[in-house]
Amino acid sequence: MEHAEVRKKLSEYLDGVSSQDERAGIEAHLQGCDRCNSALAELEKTVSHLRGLPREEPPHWLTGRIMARVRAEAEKPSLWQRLFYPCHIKLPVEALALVALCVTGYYIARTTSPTVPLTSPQVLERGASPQSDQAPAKAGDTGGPRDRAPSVPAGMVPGAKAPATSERALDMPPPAPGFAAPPPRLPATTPASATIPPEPATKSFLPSRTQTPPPVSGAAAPAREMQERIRPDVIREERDISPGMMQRPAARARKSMRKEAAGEHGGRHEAESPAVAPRTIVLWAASPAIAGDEVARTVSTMGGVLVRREPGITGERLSVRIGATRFGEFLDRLEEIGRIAKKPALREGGTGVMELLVEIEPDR
Amino acid sequence: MRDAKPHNSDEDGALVAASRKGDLAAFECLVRRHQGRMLNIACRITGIYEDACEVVQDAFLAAHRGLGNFRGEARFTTWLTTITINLARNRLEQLRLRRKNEAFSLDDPLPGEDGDLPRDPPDRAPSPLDLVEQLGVREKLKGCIDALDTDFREVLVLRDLEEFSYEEIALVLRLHSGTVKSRLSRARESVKECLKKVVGVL
Repeated sequence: MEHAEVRKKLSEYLDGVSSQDERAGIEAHLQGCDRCNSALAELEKTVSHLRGLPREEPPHWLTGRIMARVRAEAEKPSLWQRLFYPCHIKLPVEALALVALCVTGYYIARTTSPTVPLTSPQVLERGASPQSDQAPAKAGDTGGPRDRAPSVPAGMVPGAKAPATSERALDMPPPAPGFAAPPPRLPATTPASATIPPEPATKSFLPSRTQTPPPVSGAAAPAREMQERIRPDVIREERDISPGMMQRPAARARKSMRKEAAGEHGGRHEAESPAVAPRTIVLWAASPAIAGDEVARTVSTMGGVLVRREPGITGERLSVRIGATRFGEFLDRLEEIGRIAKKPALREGGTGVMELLVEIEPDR
Repeated sequence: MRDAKPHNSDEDGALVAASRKGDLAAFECLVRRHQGRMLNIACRITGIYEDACEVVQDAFLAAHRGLGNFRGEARFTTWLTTITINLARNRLEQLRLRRKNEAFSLDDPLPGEDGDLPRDPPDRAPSPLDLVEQLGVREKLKGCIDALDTDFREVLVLRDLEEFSYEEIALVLRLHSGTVKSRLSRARESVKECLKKVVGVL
């Protein structure tokens, strides 16, 4: 064997873990090489010094402190016990709370569901501009500038994303057979095959705006209802109106509808939680539970919010919100807690609030 | 001054089984049996006695929490050592980051006549039988160990200070056995060269 190879294998040879062939080759080399023999002797002395190092003794209080922490944690009731024990008190209370929640959710859904106004043909006399047509409907409306409810007839539920205006009704195609409930934001996506409903030039076309449809839940039912009400009129009047007259005002109305819908949609979206999907950070730590506690503390000290913490299959998942300007600092703190295996592509998140999903896995 | 050979894994198995059923006395036995070894490992990796004590506490707490997941396929010592080393690594990183941000750290090595010496733990007294020369060599040896990269230091500590087998080291550090051998060889060579520089002839 060559010098370099022997030197590399001296450590294993010293511990007796070399293969038989390697051992034979090393011993044969050592018989004729003083330098390698000297290197082996030095290695032996080094290991001897290492093994002779005195050991650190644990302090007398260490066992007691460990057991105190273990006992404190053992005595804390588990999440299951905290949620459901004592059964005879907590279960009925939680059942009642669940029922109350469902009922409340149902009523909220009903009151905020979009409804479709049924407008009278007379309303369309006032021209194609959505604003001019909506002005009369403002009386009695309660919504703010962002809310499109003021633009719809009285009786429309505020906040609805329904195709509430008469102009939207223009774009309602005569429904084909089997036409299912359309989404609240109506065409724009008018099917090519649909006949463009007649323009209100005839002034007697669409149902009156002042007709208030019964409030219904969901967009589907009101839209279907509107179609059914319009259909007879559409069919009746179509014969009397030339296509040329229809198209230009209808196109203008569609355009204004799109603008309206986009504004409403954007506005609504702003009002809701941050549009950015949560970014995922994968963190490796020796103890996911401990690291989870530290992450929660870090979020708290940084003025963020721990939205949710749940155990994963092997680790923990924490859903947090922090200010976007502190994202970089948050990543630095995470690197102190464990090893970041995966972090979002962008280091800085701009302004506003960031939603992050921190997945803590046992370190490999 | 080495400890007696590692504890019987069968006894550990019985204590672990009892601990999983909630027997805190059994767990306390495990703590007493293994805390010394874990403390030494944590101390050699972090380099600071006080931090090593905290690491050991956290390690046993994590072990107690994770007893439900410990399937007994590996020895309890191996599993506990893995937890301890991971926590010690994390602590070491925190210490390094903290030192970076501090102009002066109380953890910095003290200047000595022969170069920097690591700070002794406050309750550690030198053996009266140690010659001054011997004491000097030991302190310098500790400094040479501390100077190693973490990856190499871990292997050296487990093999030459704690007498783990190559197979156990591979399990604890999740390395291939070939990697364990090569890292240990390089770590020993580094310590040997370092010691020769500061001490002279070995």
